[in-house]
Amino acid sequence: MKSWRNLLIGVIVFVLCWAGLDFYLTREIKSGYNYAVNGDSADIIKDQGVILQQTSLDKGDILLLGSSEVGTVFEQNARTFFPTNEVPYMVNAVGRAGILNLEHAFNIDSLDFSKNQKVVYLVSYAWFAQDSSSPDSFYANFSKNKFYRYMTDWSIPDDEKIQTAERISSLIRTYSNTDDMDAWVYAELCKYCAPAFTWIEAAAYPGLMFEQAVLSTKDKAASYLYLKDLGPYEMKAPASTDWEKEYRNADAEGSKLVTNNDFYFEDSYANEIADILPGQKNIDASLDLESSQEFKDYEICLKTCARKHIKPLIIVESVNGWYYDYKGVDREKRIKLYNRLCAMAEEYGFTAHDMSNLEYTPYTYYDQWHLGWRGWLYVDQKITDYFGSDS
Amino acid sequence: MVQIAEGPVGGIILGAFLFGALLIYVFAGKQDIPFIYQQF
Repeated sequence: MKSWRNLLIGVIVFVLCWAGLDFYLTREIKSGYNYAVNGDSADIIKDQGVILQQTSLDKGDILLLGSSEVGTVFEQNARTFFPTNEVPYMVNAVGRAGILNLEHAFNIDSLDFSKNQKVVYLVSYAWFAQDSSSPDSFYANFSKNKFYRYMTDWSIPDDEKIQTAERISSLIRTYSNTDDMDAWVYAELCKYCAPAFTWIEAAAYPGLMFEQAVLSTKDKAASYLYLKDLGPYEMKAPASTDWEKEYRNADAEGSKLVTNNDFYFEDSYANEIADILPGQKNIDASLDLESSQEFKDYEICLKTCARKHIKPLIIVESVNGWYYDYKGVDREKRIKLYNRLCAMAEEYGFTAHDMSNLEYTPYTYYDQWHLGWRGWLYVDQKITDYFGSDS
Repeated sequence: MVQIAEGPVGGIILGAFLFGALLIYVFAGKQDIPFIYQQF
């Protein structure tokens, strides 16, 4: 009897201390939040974590979800362009190379948008090129914490969870995955025993919730240490935007760095790919842009946004037209892809813009598909139209 | 069930031990970050 009493006391002491630690970390992060976090793109603690993104959202910032383009260093990049007089909000950029729609869906699902619903979603062409997703790059961005949050969210229908589990089981089955084997095993179990999913979910629920709670405290601990290491942030003074002047500056900056090729690549990128360029001619002539698995994941992401009652501004990025013509990808095929992605978003009532008419505008992209000087200004302008004081 | 100590002290020691393990895991253990991150 005494043993049971001692065990109960032990559990109570443990839970109270844990709750105290969690409360302390949350309070310290919220009071010590530093805006340098927003501009620190491609940071794995922020990208894979929840608390830093949640704190930024609660402060009223715009959450910009993208991939490798958000880390590029251009003064036109939205993460450094704002705040302005028209859009007096900071932009918190989340995304890095290899991140895919499903990871953004998990991210959106893990956040609470009750105080702020300002989200911009940059949709990349690269995601939908056939077989573009590599398990290693997906796994490099995978967060077990967010996956478990998603799988324990009762508001998500079972068939959507099973579909997600099937995708996850194939995407995190990589030679490098030795640490998150339990996530893979759970995904496999859901995939192969789909008819018994309700029972599996019920049996696994306490364990998943416990592990997710531990990972959540771990995220807070990592974020707390990360904030302590950040230097002070100097807030940019907002000014009014003169778009004509901004575009003139963008052209001037671009023209200085694009001088040695007909594709309007930045010189350093042109030099980098000079050796392989001849081999790229018509290499993608048979590329399939209609059957990537990513379409289903994009749909899951859109459904997640709708379920969270947010209406993200969706911008479908195009590619460098000259280069993709050279690679043999028909413009018609590309336009069809952009139209399909916009139509899917519009079906959910979201505002979507595609950048198809900028494929042949110099300085829109600095390489084959990453936004450059003019490309970022286009995004900034759409953000201003959507979230600005005149919108 | 092994009794650690007489009275509630045993329970408190058990709770402190579990909390210590949690502290080590969240502050010093592996981050929720796959190691192949460095490649990207």
